[in-house]
Amino acid sequence: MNEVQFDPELLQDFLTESSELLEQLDQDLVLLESTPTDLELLNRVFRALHTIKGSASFLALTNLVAIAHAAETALNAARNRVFVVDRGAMDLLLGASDVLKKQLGDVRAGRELTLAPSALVDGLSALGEVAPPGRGTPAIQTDAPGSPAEPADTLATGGSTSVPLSLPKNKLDLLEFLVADVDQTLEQIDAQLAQLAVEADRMAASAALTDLGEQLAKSAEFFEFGKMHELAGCVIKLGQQSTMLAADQLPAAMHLGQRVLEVLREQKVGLASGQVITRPIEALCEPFGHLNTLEAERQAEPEHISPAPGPDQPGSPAEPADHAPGTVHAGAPAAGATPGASSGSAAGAGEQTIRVEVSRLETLLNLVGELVLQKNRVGALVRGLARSTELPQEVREQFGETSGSLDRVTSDLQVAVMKTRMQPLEKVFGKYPRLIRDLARKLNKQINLEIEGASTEVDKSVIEEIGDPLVHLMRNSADHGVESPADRVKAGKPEAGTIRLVASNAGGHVQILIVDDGKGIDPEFIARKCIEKGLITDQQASAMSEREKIALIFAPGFSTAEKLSDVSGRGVGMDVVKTNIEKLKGTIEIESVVGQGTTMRIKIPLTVAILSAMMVGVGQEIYAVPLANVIEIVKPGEGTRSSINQRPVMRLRDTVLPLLSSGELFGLGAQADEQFAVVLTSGDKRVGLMVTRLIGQQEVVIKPLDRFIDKGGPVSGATVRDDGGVSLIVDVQRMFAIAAAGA
Amino acid sequence: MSALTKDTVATTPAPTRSVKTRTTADPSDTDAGSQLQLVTFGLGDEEFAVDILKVQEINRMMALTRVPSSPPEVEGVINLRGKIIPVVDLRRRFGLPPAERSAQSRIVVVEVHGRVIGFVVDRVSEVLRISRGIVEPAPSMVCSVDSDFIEGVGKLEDRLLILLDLARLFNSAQLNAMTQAAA
Repeated sequence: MNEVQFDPELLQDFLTESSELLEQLDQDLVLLESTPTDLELLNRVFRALHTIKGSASFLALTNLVAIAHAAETALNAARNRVFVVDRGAMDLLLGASDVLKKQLGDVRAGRELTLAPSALVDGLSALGEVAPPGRGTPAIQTDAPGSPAEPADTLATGGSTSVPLSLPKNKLDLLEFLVADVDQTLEQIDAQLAQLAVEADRMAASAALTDLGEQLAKSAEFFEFGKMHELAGCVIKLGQQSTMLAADQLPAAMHLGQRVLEVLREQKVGLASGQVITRPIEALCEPFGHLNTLEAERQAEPEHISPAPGPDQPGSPAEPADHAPGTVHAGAPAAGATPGASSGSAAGAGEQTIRVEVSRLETLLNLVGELVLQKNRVGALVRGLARSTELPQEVREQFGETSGSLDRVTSDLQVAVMKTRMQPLEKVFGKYPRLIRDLARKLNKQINLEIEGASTEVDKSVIEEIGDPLVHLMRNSADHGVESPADRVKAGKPEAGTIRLVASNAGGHVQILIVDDGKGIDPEFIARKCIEKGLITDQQASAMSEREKIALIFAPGFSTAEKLSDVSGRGVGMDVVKTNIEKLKGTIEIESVVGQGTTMRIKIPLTVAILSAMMVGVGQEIYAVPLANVIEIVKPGEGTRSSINQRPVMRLRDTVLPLLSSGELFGLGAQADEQFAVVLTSGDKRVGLMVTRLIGQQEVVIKPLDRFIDKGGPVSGATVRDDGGVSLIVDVQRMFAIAAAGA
Repeated sequence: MSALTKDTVATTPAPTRSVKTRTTADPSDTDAGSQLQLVTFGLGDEEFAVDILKVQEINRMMALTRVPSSPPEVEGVINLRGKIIPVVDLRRRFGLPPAERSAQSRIVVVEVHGRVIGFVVDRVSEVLRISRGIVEPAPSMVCSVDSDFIEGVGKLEDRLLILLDLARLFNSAQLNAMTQAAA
């Protein structure tokens, strides 16, 4: 099997699908820990693992199947209320999820698959094993075995009994394989049952069911499991008779088949953990002898199948009379809907999404960028035309109108293409419940994570880049922010700390807040640490505001950790976080109140390809300044300008604003008429960039500069203006760095 | 010599019909492998040539945008149909004295190492076909240009043609070195 070379596309599909499932799995598992009895959630988790296992077994990824199978078995036991998922169990399940992720990585890299640690597999298997004293779920005690009057809502409470499986040693060795075999057979039966509803497929499905039933019967013989053999017989009978059934009898027959399948699944799970689970099945099997006498099924059949059906159920009242023959199978799949069948019918309804290679979207985005430039040029030409008197008024107006609609259509197109690249932040946020849970466990803290606005959408490139900085910030909040439960109680706070992750749209930006209710950041402490490490001098520290002191945590080489922990505090980090966010043309700010908590505020543009800019003129040149960094624009009056240490400043309300000549900054020489101050900010620093002219706000397409021109100067990109000329895009962070170096 | 009258010489592998080509080699020597097809241009009194396959297009002078902190020989950037490309002042690259831009000044756009770069020349002369046989390795001190950038010298009947090695000329490591030396 292992030698088989699989279609790379198939493998890619498997990787994509499984990665997505695993991501969701992590989220669901963490959720499950707080609501361990949520059956819907358990089912979802189970199905995810089952799908991964199924695809993996098709691709013969044995090691992956093994761990997925162990986790699936454990979950199935949880589903059947053999045990309740507690922290220990969750650690194992999350461990399994980690191993699966690693194995997917191995598949991707074409490596040999990592083998799951045997302790993990054993632990998971132990979970799935039935607790010795007769499966002590309370429901069983009230539910006498086989009492038909008692409506049972799930299989586990339906009066089954189990005894350990006793088989000769040579058979026990094969148990795992045979259980997997039975499992596959059951899934195929499930699929074929659904196919019965489709008239065109019915013949084939019938034949397949007969075969599958016989296959199952053989397995049952192997296990020396009489009840399973009987049920296999039911499947055979169903297969043999289904083609002879009247259309209105079919749904009832399929429903009976589903019930048999449910009981079989229960038996299979038992076998997997070495138990023989039996329940009365006579009443269930009886109708299969004469399916053609079935009356059409009552539509309002309860969703949960009663494993020990009362005598009245097989002959339940007829379906609504208007259910004419020939139309019946259209509604049939819903009657016996199983996860497999329902997803099948959803696919038939037409896919709502398609997968597109990212490179195609990139191409599209580039082309739209070009189109925007050309549109801008057309706009400029038309404006020029409007002033000329050579053309008749009417023609000029028509040009104007056409140019106007071109403008709108292009803008809409641009937005539409951008939207194809937009993804919800959920993709990133989804990983954090797990992260915080693990951190809290490791740090012996109690931390609640509240996520808001996860549906806020940002560009794909932002999604890719924002993850790491956020992880780092959340780690810091959990490690340094939130106190231990004891300290919290002492401080009069609830034992459990809260970290809130809040995303929202704000104009062309997305704002992400990380708010904790921990001990806050002490500016004096930060300043002291920085002095100790020689990052600043005493004098500098005494001149700093509290905000500036807190902002010191972004200084390269800063760390407050007394001892290194493996959670955070290696002294690399906050500066990297800041750099990464600035790479996205974003900003980060910190507010903190000692004893009350810390808020980190991140602002990032929706996309990195197009920038909202303020166009400013300096001499003959026009520069684009990122609007995100512009606070305001002022025209300094005569009396407000002065200089400190030979450096120009201006008085702006009650503060002193350093001024920077753009002529000097951009190497154009001193400009006499720099009259406007564009007040720019980066972090807590502010400066007024003096420019000659203000041109206005514009969306510009960012073009990179060739690497041999981009030598770390105050510009880091360029854009083409609507007159075809080139404007450089000011890199505000670099500008501050250059200004500081020149000081 | 036939001076170019077109604004732009569009160059796909074959020379455009609008450009007059001239063969100066022995007429019997027509083997394509032994032929070189060159674009020649002038800087001051000297005449240079580059392989026509490397040349993307030749443009009239246009407004350049200066980039702060870029290497001194980089004159600025231009918009080449939506792409921003750097333009090098070849005079400065060769350490020649600056000259006034004239109506004959051109920006030759070439592709080197997968990057598109323009350079400014005083004039573009012609597209020329010569035999490889008449190209000799560059003797040192043959002209004002560093021999590192010279692939060879073509000896025509009445003059010398300096064949430039574009790869070396626009090697970014060398440019960097020059930048640092200048700084």
